[in-house]
Amino acid sequence: MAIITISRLTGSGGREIATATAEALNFQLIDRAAMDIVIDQQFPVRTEQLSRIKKNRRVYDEMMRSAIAELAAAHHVVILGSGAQFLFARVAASLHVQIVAPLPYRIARVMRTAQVDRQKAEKIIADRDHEKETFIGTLYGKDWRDPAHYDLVLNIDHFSNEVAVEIIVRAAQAKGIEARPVELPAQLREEILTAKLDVAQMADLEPVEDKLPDFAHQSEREFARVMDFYRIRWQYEPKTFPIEWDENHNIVKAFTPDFYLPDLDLFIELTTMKQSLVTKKNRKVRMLRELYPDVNIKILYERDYKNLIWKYGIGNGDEESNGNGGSGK
Amino acid sequence: MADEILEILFHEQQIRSRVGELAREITKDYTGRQLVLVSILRGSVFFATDLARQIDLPLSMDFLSISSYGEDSEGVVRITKDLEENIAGKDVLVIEDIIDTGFTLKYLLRTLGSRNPKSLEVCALLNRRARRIIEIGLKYIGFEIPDKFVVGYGLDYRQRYRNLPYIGVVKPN
Repeated sequence: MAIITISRLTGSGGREIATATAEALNFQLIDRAAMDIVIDQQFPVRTEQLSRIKKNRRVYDEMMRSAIAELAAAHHVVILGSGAQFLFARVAASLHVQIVAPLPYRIARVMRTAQVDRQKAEKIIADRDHEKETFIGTLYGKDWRDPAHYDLVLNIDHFSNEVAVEIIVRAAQAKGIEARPVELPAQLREEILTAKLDVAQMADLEPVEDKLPDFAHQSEREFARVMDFYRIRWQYEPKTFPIEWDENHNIVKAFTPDFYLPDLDLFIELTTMKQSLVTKKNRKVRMLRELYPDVNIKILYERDYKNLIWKYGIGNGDEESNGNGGSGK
Repeated sequence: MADEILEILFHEQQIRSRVGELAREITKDYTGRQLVLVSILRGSVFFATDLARQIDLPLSMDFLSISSYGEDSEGVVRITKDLEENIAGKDVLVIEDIIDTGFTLKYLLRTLGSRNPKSLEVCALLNRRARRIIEIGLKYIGFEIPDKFVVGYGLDYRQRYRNLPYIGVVKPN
């Protein structure tokens, strides 16, 4: 499908133009955040493993390139940054745009949008542009500022955003990008495959079970698996809260919830044990809530947990996976 | 009433009238906007089509399906059928059959949110609050239900009972 890449000098407002172009053409906008989700989709390994794998710069770059390429083969896209202009340089169904503006315009814009003084704005611009230069230089060995890499270079100081979008749309039509199929060059297709193999291999080298903490109960292990499936990051017993002190201020009682879900800022306590212990645990949670009113904690009782296990068909591995059609689909 | 159904929670007439109320609210809230109904397969299909027929607005419908834990317990959740439409700049209303833990919905909202819709809200036929782990705001809710296993009007037990015109509680086996 058709690809428009938009590269921009820091502070030129390229993101707004990319968003408006995507809207005008009904293309999907791919920015960094969207790209991470596409990567999650294309590389089905545990979130925990994926974040570790992503730390390997070479592999992450491969994953990113593969993700963009596969996406662009199936959808009309506007890709913001990420060196996509070089990735798709030889793809006919693409339009490569660079948004530029004179330095004073960019400084003024960053001062306004980031609410910083002139000196800070100058530093932000210099740092980000340098980062881009290094990123593109390392990955593609090219100078990203060179206008010869683009079909269209727009000085945004001379046009309103609306006009800029109109020009890009006209250029896309003139080049006929929507009418042509995206044919990925053989080398790129090979790279996609290599990225997938690399990630699969790296994931294999780190067997899931070895990376799991020593859970106190099987129920905790199963809960962690469900979290992993839904790509919800978790930490096992990362924090202990003191809840009772003696007269000398020594801690006499503390409580360590089983899980912390950092993206949700939520602690989870699983109770799958006998009632006498549940009462004790309830008391601890109540004290924790009183002493730390800002801490979000949820207790999953045996009934909640059984519902969860039954719903997702784990535990005994039977075919109840649909649980309640509810989420089972 | 099917033999295995213990009790009926909501009769056909009750469902029809509630769906009508929701449709009127949605019509009011989305007038002049670009509404896209995203029905999550398979459970929400009956609800979504009934609802859509009563929303008095130009709208488009699309369908999305994701893998569930039991099918692929070694892997991670994935979209198994993606939207056909681009939702950037549109007002997206996700139609779900039932919200339990919030895990599935959380993933859906994160994924759809990354596609830059103008707005992203949820309309759930049933809300089983007792099972909630992740708190997520639901703009429209058909019915609040107790912590019971329900089937019918799209909801299944091992792929059965979806076609029941009412929502009932299934007998434990």
